[in-house]
Amino acid sequence: MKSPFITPRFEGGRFDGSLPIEVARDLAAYQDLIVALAKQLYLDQHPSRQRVPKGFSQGFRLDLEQLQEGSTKALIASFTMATAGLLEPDLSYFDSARDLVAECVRAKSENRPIPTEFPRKFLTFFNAFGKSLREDETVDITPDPNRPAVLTASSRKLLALEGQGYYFADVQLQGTVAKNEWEAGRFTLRLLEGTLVDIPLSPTYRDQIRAAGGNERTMVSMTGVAAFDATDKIRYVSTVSDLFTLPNLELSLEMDNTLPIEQGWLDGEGEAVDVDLREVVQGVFVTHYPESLPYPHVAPTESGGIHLEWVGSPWRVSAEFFPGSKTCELQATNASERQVVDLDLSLDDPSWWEGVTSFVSKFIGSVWD
Amino acid sequence: MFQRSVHPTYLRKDVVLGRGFMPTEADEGLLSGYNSELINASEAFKHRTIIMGKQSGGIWAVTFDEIDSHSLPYAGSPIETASSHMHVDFNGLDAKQIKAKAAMLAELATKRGRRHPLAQNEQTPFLGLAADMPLPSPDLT
Repeated sequence: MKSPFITPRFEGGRFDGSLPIEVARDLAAYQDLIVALAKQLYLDQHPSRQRVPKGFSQGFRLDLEQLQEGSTKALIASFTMATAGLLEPDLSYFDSARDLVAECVRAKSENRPIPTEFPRKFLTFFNAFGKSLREDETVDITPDPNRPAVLTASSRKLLALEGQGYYFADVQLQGTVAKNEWEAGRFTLRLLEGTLVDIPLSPTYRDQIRAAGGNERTMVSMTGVAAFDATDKIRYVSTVSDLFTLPNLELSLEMDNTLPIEQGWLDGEGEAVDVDLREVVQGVFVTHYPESLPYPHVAPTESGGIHLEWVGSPWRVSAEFFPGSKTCELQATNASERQVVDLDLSLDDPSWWEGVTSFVSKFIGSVWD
Repeated sequence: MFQRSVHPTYLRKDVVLGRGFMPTEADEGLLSGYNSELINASEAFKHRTIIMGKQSGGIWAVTFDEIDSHSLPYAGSPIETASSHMHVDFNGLDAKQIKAKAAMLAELATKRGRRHPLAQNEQTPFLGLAADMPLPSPDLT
């Protein structure tokens, strides 16, 4: 048997006629909450019972019957309740659970205490239900069109915090591997601003983390879910959905940040850096830059070329790349002795990269010296 | 001293990159700056940023002796809003020579330190001399 159960109304952001998959996952958490709450309500009504009747929840499931576009940026999902084998009196507990969840959301949005009959332990379901909502998105889960029960990203966070003192949310983090703890099955990521975060270690990316460990230039980029406290500070990462490593991210970021893509950067003069040249230079340097050498300073030239400069003592080395040219001009200068050494390399020579690193090593030395 | 306003693109913290002391194509080989005997670093910075409306990461300087030691001519080249305006002449040099001399001047200026603006905890480099007065040539050897 099927009967209408709820018609959540999604508004804003991405809800332009389709339902993102992660939002659909949130609705699975909503179903879990309804089932758990219905059981609790049944037990509250039958204090003499230790458990709900056999088959109480097995026959219950929510089915998405229809998606339809509402007014501007609104999407209405119609869910029916499939209740195979459930007895009529028991169905009411699911309806009551639906109403109570809506009242809980409504109360939070109106800054009222959540209903006393809603068990606080079930607020943890809001770690999953509504987790994918973005700041400009809402979902109204009211069964009563005259009394909205609108869940937002911030009210979802407050509900989860009220339940257990922290909340879960999606994260994208970048940092270096500060510590590996193989036996404990986790590693510690030092974020770019210095914060340390524990992350579970799975066999899927164990080798990547092993290779990145101890290498401050290899950045780890991960997406997943993290627990945050009431001050929005990460406490730990609970799950990792994707992880990859990036060599020489700092150098890559400096190139991204310092090489202009628009003309006029030099007080009205200055060409944008040549796109093809940038791709060649950035690609090679970021992929192959040796750990032993200090990073160069990166700057554009007024003609759209790229200027790299290593500042050592007593030598400075520069490498200049020209737009439309296959030449790399290397130059080492020693201001104290007024010495100059020049070397031109052809980018058509497969060994040009070795030529650059050899030249820089000779005059600047290693970071380990 | 020759005081040079360095574009932020060619500064990394307190390091002046070689291009910070290199004339651009539009300069036609003449690297512009200010004569410290006629204007102090603070006023030069104001002139560059407020009167000229140009970007500046600060004022850096090399002595006339240091410029001489690189066989580079220099001369005053007053403009309407700054009688202290001057230039160092890189004409007659090929591109690599220009780059090398610019890098060495930038190194000397970096070692001397920024002339303006000074950080709050920075003192005038030599006690008894104002920030706009010539410094003795350092022995870099």
